[in-house]
Amino acid sequence: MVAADVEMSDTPAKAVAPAAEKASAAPPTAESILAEVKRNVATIDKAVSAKDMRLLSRVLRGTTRVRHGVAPAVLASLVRSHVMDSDAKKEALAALTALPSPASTSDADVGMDVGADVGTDAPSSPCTPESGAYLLLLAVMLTVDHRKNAGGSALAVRVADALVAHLSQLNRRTLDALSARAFFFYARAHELAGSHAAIRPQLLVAYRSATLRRDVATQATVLNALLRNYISFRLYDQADKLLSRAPFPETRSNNQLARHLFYVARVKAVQLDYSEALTCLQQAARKAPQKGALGFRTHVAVMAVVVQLLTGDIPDRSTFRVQEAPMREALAPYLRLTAAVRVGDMSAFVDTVEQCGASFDADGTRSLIGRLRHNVLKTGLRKLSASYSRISLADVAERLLLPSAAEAEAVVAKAIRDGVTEATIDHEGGWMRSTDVGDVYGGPEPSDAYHTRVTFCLNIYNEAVRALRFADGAAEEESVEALRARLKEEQELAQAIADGEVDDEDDGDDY
Amino acid sequence: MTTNVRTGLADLRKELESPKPDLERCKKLLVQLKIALTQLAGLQPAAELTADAVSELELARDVYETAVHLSILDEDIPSFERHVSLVKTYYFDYASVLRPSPRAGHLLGLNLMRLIAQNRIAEFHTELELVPTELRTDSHVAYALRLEQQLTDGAYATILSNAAVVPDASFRFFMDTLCVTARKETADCAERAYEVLDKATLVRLLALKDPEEVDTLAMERGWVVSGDTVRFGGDDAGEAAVDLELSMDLIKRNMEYAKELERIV
Repeated sequence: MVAADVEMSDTPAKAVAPAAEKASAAPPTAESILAEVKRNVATIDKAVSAKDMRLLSRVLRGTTRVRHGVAPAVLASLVRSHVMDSDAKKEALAALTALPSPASTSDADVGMDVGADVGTDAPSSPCTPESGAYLLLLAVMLTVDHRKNAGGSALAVRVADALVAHLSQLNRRTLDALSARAFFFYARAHELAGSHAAIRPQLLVAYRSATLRRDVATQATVLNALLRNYISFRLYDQADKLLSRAPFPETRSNNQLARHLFYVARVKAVQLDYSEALTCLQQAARKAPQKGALGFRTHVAVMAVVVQLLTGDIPDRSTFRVQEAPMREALAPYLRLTAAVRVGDMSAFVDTVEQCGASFDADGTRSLIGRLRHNVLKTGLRKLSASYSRISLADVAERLLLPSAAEAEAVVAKAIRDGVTEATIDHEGGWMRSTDVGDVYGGPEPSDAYHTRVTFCLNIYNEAVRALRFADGAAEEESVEALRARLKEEQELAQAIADGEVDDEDDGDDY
Repeated sequence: MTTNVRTGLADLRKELESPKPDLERCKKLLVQLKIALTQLAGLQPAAELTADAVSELELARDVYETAVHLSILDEDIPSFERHVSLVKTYYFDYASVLRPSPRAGHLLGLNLMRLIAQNRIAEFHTELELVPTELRTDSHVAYALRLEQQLTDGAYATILSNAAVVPDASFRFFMDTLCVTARKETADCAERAYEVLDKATLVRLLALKDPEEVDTLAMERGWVVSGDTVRFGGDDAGEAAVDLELSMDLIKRNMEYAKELERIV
């Protein structure tokens, strides 16, 4: 699970980035990226002096492009000239120089250009901690991206550690958005390096201070990091306790909410609360960005299929008919699984679990799928009793791959008690006899259904009569009040939608 | 210091393995052992993980494992839960430091059994997630897993007939609780699934000791025993009551409709 989950965060961003670049008219050149970084630094400075956080979030939104375009050498020189002296700066510089530069001819020139450029304006630009943090954050992202190199992940851990330590010394509200990002990459770097068991205390401390400072961005990010941490060690108990104690902040980016819902769903699914898990997964799918974040969406879709099967429903065929090829491939084993569960074919189910076991293991759904056995059994039994009016228990055992007729008898008995099938067992003859579904119209159901409708109609009629009778001033005043309340509500809704959209654009690159 | 604990532990184990262990004496020994453990340097919070500390941690793990067995013999569930959660720290949090315990499978299997017997299935699955893959094939864990599957499938008869075969004597305590549940469930199922059953089959299904128990059960559940067969028609009287209630409902509703119609017309 860990390996696959890890990919969830990064692959999609990478997979999508080239596509986005192709779509835009010209691919960003090294120069344009450099200009953008500089512009961003200036914007951040402006944002801080004007205390306008919208400018800051706009800069952060564009991080993906910068992250994939900027060369380590260029960033190193920017860090050298713009960032206040600190341990974090030293670490970042050491890391950036250790990173290999992409093989491009113009690279050296650019590097020199920057050097010259920076040489002149470094003394003149007193840099805010925020823009420094931004550059350092970029450095962390770059080292995380280069984790495939020898020692890359250890390097990323060191830089992230230094950055987080540096940020925790500064207590500035304007840093909140940046420190949320910093914690995300801190947790990520440690996870990649495999040392994430040890960072729980730090994350808990960070969560506490974020809560005390009402820093919702960091609070949400750190809470998710903690949940992810627990779940990756299968500590569902701890995750559940954390969830019940730590409320998820209400104002947060949609992406963090989507993640949070996904983690909640995972915990609930393990604890057999399938309907709650399914609701969370559906919301997570809705809140996740619609383009990009492919890995995340795949995971949500996979979990949703398994959980939906566990609730006893069969997912729509359209769930498996997705545009993106990697997602379709990831869902393929689940399509086979669904087919087996739908018809209650036990041998197909066993075969699927055997053959696709590796991918189920990788997705961390193996144990959930193990629980599906019972659903297959139930469906199979229902089919059998529908198709045969009388069938011997030995045949039932054979069809459902049960070890013996005696066990089949017990299973059928339980199914009858649970209301799965309508049948009786003849022990002497050793068969199960399906009782005809009795005359539905003989039971109380039709009259119940009829009754609810009649009551509904009668209520409408009575209310209409009452409304006619009391059409006076009092009612009018009330309706004006109601109108006002409704208008206000609508306004709030519009506001909320606008905010939501702003959030949607926010930090698409985290996934 | 460690030698003290070691000899104490050996004493405790010897007492526990004797055919008739003196539980009071065992508990006293255990308390002494626990006090001795607090004085070991390697068990202090934030102690360095030296080779000595590792052996001390293993010793502590052994002590708590033995304590779990003592709780089972004593049939003391709260103490069992407490000690299992202590042992789990050594199994999971120190997994990279300590050598795997040979008794890990046994204890985790027991803990899973406890959750099944207490019908805490959600927690059972949470715990199961923690059991590492290599331990799932351990005979004790696999036994608990199979039981859980049989329970969900409804193979109560199989559970009852296999009740005598447990991987370890310590499982018997939970198995007894489970048998009571399984018997009750089987009786519930039989009531609904069969019309008639002969006594001998029922005795076999419920794994009862003699046919007389069927009679007492029939009394409790309202089954009709006639000679050698049991008829599950106990519902008849109930059905009549339901029918009466249904008719009353229908009459009430129709009266209501009539009243409302009258008002409209």
